[in-house]
Amino acid sequence: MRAEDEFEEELSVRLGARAAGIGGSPPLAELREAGRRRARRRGVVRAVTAVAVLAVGAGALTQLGGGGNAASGAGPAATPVVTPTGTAVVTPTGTPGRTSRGAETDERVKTVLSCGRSGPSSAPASDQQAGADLVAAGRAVERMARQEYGDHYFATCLDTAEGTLVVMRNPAPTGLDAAASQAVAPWPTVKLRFVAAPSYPSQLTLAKEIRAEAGDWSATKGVYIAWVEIALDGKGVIVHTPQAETARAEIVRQYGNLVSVGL
Amino acid sequence: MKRESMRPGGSGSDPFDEFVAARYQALLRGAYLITGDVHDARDLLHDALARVYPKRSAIREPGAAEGYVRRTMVRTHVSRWRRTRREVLTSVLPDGPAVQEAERDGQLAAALAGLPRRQRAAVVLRYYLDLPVAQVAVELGCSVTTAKTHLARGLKALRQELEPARELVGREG
Repeated sequence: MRAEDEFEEELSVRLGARAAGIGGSPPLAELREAGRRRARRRGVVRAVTAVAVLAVGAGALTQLGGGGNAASGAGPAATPVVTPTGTAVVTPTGTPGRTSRGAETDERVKTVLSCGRSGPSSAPASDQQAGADLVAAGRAVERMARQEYGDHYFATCLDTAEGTLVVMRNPAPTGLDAAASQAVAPWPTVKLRFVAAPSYPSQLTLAKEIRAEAGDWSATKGVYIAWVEIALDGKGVIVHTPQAETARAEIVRQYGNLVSVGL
Repeated sequence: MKRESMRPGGSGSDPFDEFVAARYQALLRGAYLITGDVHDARDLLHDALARVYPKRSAIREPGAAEGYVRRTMVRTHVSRWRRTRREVLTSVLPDGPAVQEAERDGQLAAALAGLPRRQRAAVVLRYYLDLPVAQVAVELGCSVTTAKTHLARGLKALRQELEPARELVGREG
């Protein structure tokens, strides 16, 4: 037998002899409890990781300005939304419960909301058809205008009582009005009305700024900014926060008199 | 520390409990040779068992559980994270019960303690547990070539530490 083999054999014997004196019984209950604790920790870590990944993904989509789920409010930053109360909404990222709308993709064009004046609830069949046409025309205008006139187009809403599509835009001669008229041509019963919103670009910029700083307000002052609206009458930006009473003065001081603070 | 009495097969219906009850001592001995200290060995084994416990339902073959626990133990021990968290490498044997255990073969204990962790683990896996080199590589999470290198360097260092004593014994004999 070679010297190397002899040494390896002797090593095996000595290792076995050294380990032979070690023994003990397993603390099964403690091991089970330690295993359960670790399983719980893993579950928590996985949940936190999943939330973090989703948050990072949503943030990346927001930064890239594409994708995102329209209903989640996590799409491109500060997409204006027409609400039944007649205001455009800029929702903080991830704020649930607000319908968002845009036109970068067809999927994000969900609906065109009412301007706040609805027709009778027990409308006859012909009115229902007119309402359907109005909705379809609104979607067509929204899609076209958001894609081709994004810098000047504000929002569209439905005045079902009048059978009218209200298009709010910068009144500069951009060709948007003619394009909108052409877009609703397939629905001859639909009437169009254009409303000037010349201050929309600056208000949108302000709304985006406020939304971007919502996290800072929450972290440093405990003010939770739920969402930001651009008033359809063009008179300003509305910041919605549960702390409206206490934070109103500071928010107005920060962003100027165009800002209104509400609950 | 509160302990339960261990009876193989009688520790409940969980097969993992039965496996732990049956193989605890063998695993502890392996851990002791890898760490060189009884308390560290228990910590290492218990940590490995706790890691494997949540995944026990995914272990389909009962025979695979021991390898899984051992692999977890070895990799945890040689990982940098554990090395920096728990202790600094030293060739000096620790005080306490481990010294008493080592008295039986203090020279081997000192020689093992002087090896880097991966070499030491490779030597224990190969020459105590009698695993083939390919399996040693699997347990260490490295290539077969790397495992052979660890083994060769570990053996060389041990031989240098232990050979003089053998020669001395030979002369006396």
